[in-house]
Amino acid sequence: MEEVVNQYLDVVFNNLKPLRISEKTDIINEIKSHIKEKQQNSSESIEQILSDLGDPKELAKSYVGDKLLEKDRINLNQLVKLIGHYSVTGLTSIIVVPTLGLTSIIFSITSILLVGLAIINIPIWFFKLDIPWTIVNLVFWQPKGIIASIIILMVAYGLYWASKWLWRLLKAYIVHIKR
Amino acid sequence: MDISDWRTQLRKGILEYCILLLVKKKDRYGYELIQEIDAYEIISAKESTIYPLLRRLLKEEYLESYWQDAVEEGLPPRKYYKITIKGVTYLELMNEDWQTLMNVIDKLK
Repeated sequence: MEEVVNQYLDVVFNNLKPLRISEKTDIINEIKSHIKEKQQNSSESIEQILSDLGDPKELAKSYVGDKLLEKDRINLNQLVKLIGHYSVTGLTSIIVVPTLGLTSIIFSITSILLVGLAIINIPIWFFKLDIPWTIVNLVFWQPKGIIASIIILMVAYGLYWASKWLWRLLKAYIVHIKR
Repeated sequence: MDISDWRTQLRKGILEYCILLLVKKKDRYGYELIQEIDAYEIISAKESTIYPLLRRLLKEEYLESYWQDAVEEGLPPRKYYKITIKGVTYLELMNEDWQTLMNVIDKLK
């Protein structure tokens, strides 16, 4: 195959970073197949065929773009890729991105810890162990036992929800400033 | 007067519908699909739109794919797309929506 085609496919391949290697090869093979098919069936020159496919980076992006946004799970690796993908720069981003990202991650870790506490709290209360691990203090009221666990779980749920929401906000921000 | 904006908007959802309609008739490979679609200017789209769209339809399990060698000499292996049962159900819902939409438009005219 012509050198220009290989160069083109290399650029596509290198810009498909977040995908698994098997997916990348599959995409490359399909584009390769498309190019050969078109060479046989039309009178277009190879340069014309490649220019119909468009800029190789853009082509790769159109595969990858959705992939990065589709997942809702909080994932630092994904965030780094997202920032790289949309080449986020600028002073506001230096503040906004880490703030939203860290808050979201801390909320999510806290919510997991709280679920743990809510579970630990039940045997402590049941066996009347005197371990002051979980004291729910609402100032005017200090619930104990199951009620304390339920309140902890409610707070955990709230934090979990808030962290998801912040994460979505962060992704929307990254995509927005790029456009 | 610029009709192209409205066409772009319109094409977005319809392209997915057209691809599923075409693949339901018989298994097709990417280049073939693009040729079919290209025959109608109103739905014609770039490769960089169609291939990623096909990939999304695979991910959502409306389509499945398999590689097959071309019968003709000198042609590369082709990646064929085939509609799944989930895809057929999805397409039936799309057909219903399309019919409803046509009826509504007729009434509004």
